[in-house]
Amino acid sequence: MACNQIFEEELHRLLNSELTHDEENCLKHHLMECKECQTHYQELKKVDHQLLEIEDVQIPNDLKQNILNQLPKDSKTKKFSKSVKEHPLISAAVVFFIMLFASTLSSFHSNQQMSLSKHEDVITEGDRVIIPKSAIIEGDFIVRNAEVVLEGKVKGNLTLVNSQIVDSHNHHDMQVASWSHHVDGKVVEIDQYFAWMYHKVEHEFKNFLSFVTP
Amino acid sequence: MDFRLNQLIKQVKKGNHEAFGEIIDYYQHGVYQHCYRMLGNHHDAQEITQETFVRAYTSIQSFKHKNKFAPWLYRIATNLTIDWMRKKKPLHILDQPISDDYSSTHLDQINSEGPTPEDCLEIQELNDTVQEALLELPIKYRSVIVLKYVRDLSLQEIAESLDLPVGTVKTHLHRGREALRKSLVKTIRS
Ligand SMILES: [Zn+2]
Repeated sequence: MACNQIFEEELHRLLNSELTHDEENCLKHHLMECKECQTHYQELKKVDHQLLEIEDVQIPNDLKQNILNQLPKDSKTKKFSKSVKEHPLISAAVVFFIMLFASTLSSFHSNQQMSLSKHEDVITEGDRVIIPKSAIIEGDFIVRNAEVVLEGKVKGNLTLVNSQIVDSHNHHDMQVASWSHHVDGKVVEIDQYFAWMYHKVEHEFKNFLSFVTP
Repeated sequence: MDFRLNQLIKQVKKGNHEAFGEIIDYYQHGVYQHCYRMLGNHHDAQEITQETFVRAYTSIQSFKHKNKFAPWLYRIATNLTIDWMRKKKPLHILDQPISDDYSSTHLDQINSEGPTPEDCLEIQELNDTVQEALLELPIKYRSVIVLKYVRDLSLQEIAESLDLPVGTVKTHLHRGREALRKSLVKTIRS
């Protein structure tokens, strides 16, 4: 076996600066005496150098746009707490309505039990709500304090209060993109009291409007 | 970046395209370099880089915050480049070790379609001897070399990207470098 084959592993480790002080001294002594290993090491250093010298290439201009175009569509889900933060006017209105609807506060806090809109095809199992494949819910559907397995269809809006949609197989959060096949309306997630208030207020306000505008 | 990155990933998990745009801004250059050096031409590099990001977006739920993002992303990119090369040529050709009669024929086989003007530009860049030598390396050595030298990842990060033990990464690094030494010395002498 050629000398540099015996030392090959150590030469690479020298290049990686992985040798101990003693090992390094020992190898360097050998390199001074052995032409073969010396050449081998010089060549390795050259390769190392050439690899480090590789220059970056320019990336195509349309790369980012192409990627964004290929992404699945933004989900219909909208966090109400976010829109409250973004629109001061809504916040002001909410503060005003808090006075009027203070009772909803107590109803929110007192009711940590699971509850949902009534529908005959919907199954409840512990704190899970299962909307089976066969179920088609014509109107809106509200679920509170539960995990929702969504396999059927909701034709109206789906409102989740302290609830989340889970995959029936592994119980993990379902991917946002796949909800939209099951819900024709909007998916509204409400996980904070403030957002819950807003939702209630919006609901009452719509009732009020339909009352005054026949 | 880490804090910001975590924030962005949380947004992306909720389906936010804008947040993902920021992630693209940050990583597209690196992922493109990786794909280009692995594949050796711009057309394929663009295709695979785009697919890498789309795949990252659709499987972001599987990313756990205790992991590092870059190795996770490069893992997707590496797997896609390997799939791509497998689709183009049977694996036994690509995984063949370098031998003396193994010159540029392998490259010729990969780019078997006739040259277009666009290809000529690419060939010009391919003339870079180091890139040519890289493309002759078996994939497992090539991916380690590219992640180490082109992307400057640590051995630990490379191990995470390729799902290999660190010891194996070191062995591949040595073997790859050794193979490059042999082929580059040959080009210098000829
Ligand atoms: Zn020697």
